[in-house]
Amino acid sequence: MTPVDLKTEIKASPAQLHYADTLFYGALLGFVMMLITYALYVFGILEPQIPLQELPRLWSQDAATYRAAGTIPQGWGWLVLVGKGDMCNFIGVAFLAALTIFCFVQLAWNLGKARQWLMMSIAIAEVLVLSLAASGILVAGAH
Amino acid sequence: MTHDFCPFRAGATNMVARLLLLAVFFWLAGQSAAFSAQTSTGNQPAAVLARSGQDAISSQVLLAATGNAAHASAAHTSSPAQALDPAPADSHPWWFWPLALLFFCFILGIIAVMAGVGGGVLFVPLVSGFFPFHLDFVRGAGLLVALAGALAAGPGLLRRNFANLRLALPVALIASTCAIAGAMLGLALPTNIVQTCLGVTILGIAILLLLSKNSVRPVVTKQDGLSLALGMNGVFLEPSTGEVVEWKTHRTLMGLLLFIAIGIMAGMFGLGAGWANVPVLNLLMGAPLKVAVGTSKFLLSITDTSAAWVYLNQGCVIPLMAIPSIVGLMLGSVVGVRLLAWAKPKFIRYMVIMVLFFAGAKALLKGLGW
Repeated sequence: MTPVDLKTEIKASPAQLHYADTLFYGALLGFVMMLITYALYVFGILEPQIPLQELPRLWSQDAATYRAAGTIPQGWGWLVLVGKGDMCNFIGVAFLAALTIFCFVQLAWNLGKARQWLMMSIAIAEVLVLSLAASGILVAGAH
Repeated sequence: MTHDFCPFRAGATNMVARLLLLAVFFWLAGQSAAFSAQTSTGNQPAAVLARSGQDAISSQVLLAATGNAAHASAAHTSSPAQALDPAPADSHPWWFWPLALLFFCFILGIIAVMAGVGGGVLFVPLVSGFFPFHLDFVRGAGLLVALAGALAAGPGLLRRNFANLRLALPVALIASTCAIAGAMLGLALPTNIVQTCLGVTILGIAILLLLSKNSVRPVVTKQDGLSLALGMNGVFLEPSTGEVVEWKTHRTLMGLLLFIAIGIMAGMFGLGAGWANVPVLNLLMGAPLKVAVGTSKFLLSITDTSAAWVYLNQGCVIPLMAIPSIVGLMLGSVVGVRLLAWAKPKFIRYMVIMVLFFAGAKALLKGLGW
């Protein structure tokens, strides 16, 4: 590599920098949301779906028992109960978990603009994989 | 920025770190003994009878909270929670264990940074072994802990080019796909089998940490065809020396195949996977240590996202315990980074390896029902 190439290569690519910026501001927003909703929950401002006193009896049992006892739906069903103190915590958690998908959509777009077709294809495949995981389709087979 | 070395301060910091580790050891042993005693007491018929009355009342509260009157009237005879509940009553108030988890994760965060391991690999075996939470919820929280740490570190690593997208993208696609399969497998298998496999894995990780000697700049004489096609090479500036370091990878196919197993294990046990990512990227594929560590941390944000979604969708995340874990570990990591300038991490690393042996053995015994 020539010294000019090296100087260019040392710097992160524009696509990488865009990814970093989205990740930084998104993570910050997600953490703030998570802390606010947690405060609403534990300080009793929002009534929870499962009373707090019930949890020590339920958290030592498996997820299926916990869901049955609290009539907690699988997948995105928690959105129906989002007004409940415990369920509203999933807004921040789901936002943080979805952040990588947003970042990859943006990355695929930027890689496409830079004509890096192979990397763009991988980024699109990653979006599909993460979206499949997030969709809630893959819930069968759990105990 | 440089720090003047002060032997007294460094000694004091090491002493603090040792005391923290000792406190964790004694606390874990105490809680383990107390919980075992409580479990055996909870099996006595009198205790069960006394508790069943409380269950009927609490189930009424639970069902009334959901606003389901039909279910509430049915609960007079039998409630789902009552019928399925073989667990011992926990005499602690609801806030006790989340608060204990917050402090525990704070200390864990300090220790993890000093030992150079991710939080997830310590969190899952220790919390599943010594706290009253079911393994399903511990794995869900463990993935969120690892994910939160990776999301926080990711932007800085990407901006400094320590995390390389060209290296990360193909690896992430394989690992995240397999993490979904691992998560589904982990949730489908009986808990005792997963617990046993977790114990074996943790013991393996302890041995790996004990034996592996990472290479700061592995020598890669020839970049292989796959690495060339995927553009797995780059340049970074070493800030400590101002040197420009060029790197490329080799043995790429073998590395990519290993990420199948790494992804499955990350999803199955909720461990995060930094303990495996770094040796594969560094020792096998030949990426410089800084690039391997940075890319591994960034990779966790992708691998753990896919597995975390599976756990989240299955109701394996209890916010009351997951969020104190995330906050505690992140605060502990911030303090740990500051202490790192003064402490001797080698001693802490060996102590962590001992803790992993202990936690692995505990998980194994618990899984085998001994």
